Parts: sequence; structure tokens; C-alpha cells
Amino acid sequence: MNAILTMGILIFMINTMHGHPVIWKGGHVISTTRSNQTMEIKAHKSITKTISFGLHGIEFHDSHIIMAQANTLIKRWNETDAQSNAYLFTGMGIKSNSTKSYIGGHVGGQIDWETRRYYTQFNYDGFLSNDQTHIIKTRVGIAPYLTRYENIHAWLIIQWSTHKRKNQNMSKILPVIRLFKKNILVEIGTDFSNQHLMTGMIHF
Amino acid sequence: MRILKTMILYTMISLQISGMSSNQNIQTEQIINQKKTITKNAATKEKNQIILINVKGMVCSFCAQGIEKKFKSHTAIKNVNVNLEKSKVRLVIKPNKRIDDNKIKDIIVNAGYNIDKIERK
Repeated sequence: MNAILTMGILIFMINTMHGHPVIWKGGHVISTTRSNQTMEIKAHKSITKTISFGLHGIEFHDSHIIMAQANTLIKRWNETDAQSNAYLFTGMGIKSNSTKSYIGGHVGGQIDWETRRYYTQFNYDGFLSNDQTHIIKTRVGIAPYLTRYENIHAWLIIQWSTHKRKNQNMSKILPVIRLFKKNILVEIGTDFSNQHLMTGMIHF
Repeated sequence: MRILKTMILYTMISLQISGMSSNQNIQTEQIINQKKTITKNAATKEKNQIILINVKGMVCSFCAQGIEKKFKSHTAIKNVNVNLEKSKVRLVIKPNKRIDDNKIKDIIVNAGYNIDKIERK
């Protein structure tokens, strides 16, 4: 926990890193996501429109991984009223628990498709070290209203995710509200029981 | 005495005429200046060229921030408006400045989008 916080502070201090997979050339993204299973901080800089580099920290209940991360936009399909993307994520770093440290890696991917009204996303993230964690996530969203560029935009999303780790397999379904205005995005999700999700993202 | 009165009268009339003439001159100058200002404004308006860009894939305002940010940082751009509904970006170009189509394409493509059409008005 302390290591991730320290990394987050460092990222803000050096102000050169950035976390959406890849954005415009020269753009920076910082994002954080907290759920019952994990807490993540990402900071990336897009050096081109297809490649970004940065740092990625993720904390599980009993360990955490800090990695150098590279994200690649493999393919983007720009249509008149829609956009879809395919991304590849790779990372390499150190995984630590209370007693030991190991070499850790990350391999993942994302495909998404969205219009102004509908949104779908599929993610796979594999965190590989002395043990393995696999996270699969699928999202389907709808914009309850369409508004002008400069206004607050909203998405109502249903997220299904499954975490597989050390022979444990946990799946959950969460309703999520996503709001964004200009360069700030927040997400809040809950099943009104014991599962929650919070995401904050800024790009510049 | 009569001569003196006549002189004073002439002097007053002369001053009055002179004053009227001076006022007329000021009014004339004001009108000319107003005309000049209108002409100048019209010229400025003419030089504020408008460019409309049809952008493919621009469906999300959060992701389209890069387009606005990059155009705003260009020295020729006075104003940028993004219209998601029509998938258009409207640029207002500063007087006597220019941005060519290649630069526009470069900014849009590096923001992650494709250009459908560029119109200059």
C-alpha cells in the first residue's frame, strides 16, 4: 500500500508520466481504480498516437506489483459515427509480498467499440509472477442522454468481471456510473452489497 | 461709438461662424473615423477565415480533448469548437494567419482520428 502511494506521489511530482491505454501524441493520463479486490494506479505518456509508456502499480490483498508499462494501440477503426480499438498491454517489474520480492510481469489486452449512445469493452489482464492472477472484464454501456461537447457526459454501464487467483475464482456484476467533463473522468460502481468500484482519471 | 458697436457685432458673428465651421469639421472627422472603423472591422471579419473539418471516429468528448488542445496551441488558431453531434471541428483562424491542410490532417491523425473533409469558408 505504501509503495503504491509513494509511486503515485512520485508520478505527480515528476509530472511526466501518464494511464488510459493510449491517447493523443504527447498526451498524459493518470488514473486510479479501487475495488474490493485490487487498487491500481497508472500513469502514462503517449509518445505516438499508438504507443504509450509509463508506470503501473497494482495492489492485491497480500502483495503488490510495480511495473514499467507499455501500451500499444494495435488497430483503431474510425467510422463516421463509431470508433473501435484493439490494445495490447505489457509490463515488467517487481512483485512484493510481506516476505519476498519476485520478478513480475503483466500481459493484457482490450477491445472496445463505441458510438455516442452505446459502449462495449472487453479486457483481459494477466499478472504473472511466483503465482498468477487473471482478470477478465466485460462492459456494456448506454448514454442516457446526448449532450454538447463541453457539458457533463454520463454512461450507465454494467460490468461483469472475474478474478482467478491461486485456485480461487470470483465473479461479480456491478452497475457503474461513468461521468466525465473536459479532461476529468470518474466512475462509481456498487452492487449495493459488499462490492464497489471507484475510478478517477485525468488527462492533459 | 457706433463704429465700436459695429466692430463688436462683426466680431461676434465671425466667432459664431468660425465655431459652427469648427463643429462641422469635428462632426465630419467623426463620421470619417466611424467609416474607417467599420471598414477596418469588415476587413478583419473577412480575414477571420473559418475552417470546418469532418472528423471520423469522434464520438467521445473525453477522448476528443486532444483535438481541441492541439489546435488551441497552434499560433494561427483563434478559436476551436468541437461538435460531436455533427462530427465536426470548427476552427476560426486569426487575421493574416494560415494553417494548411497538411497541418490540420497531422493534428487530427496524431489525436487518433481520420479526416473526412476539410472546408474553408
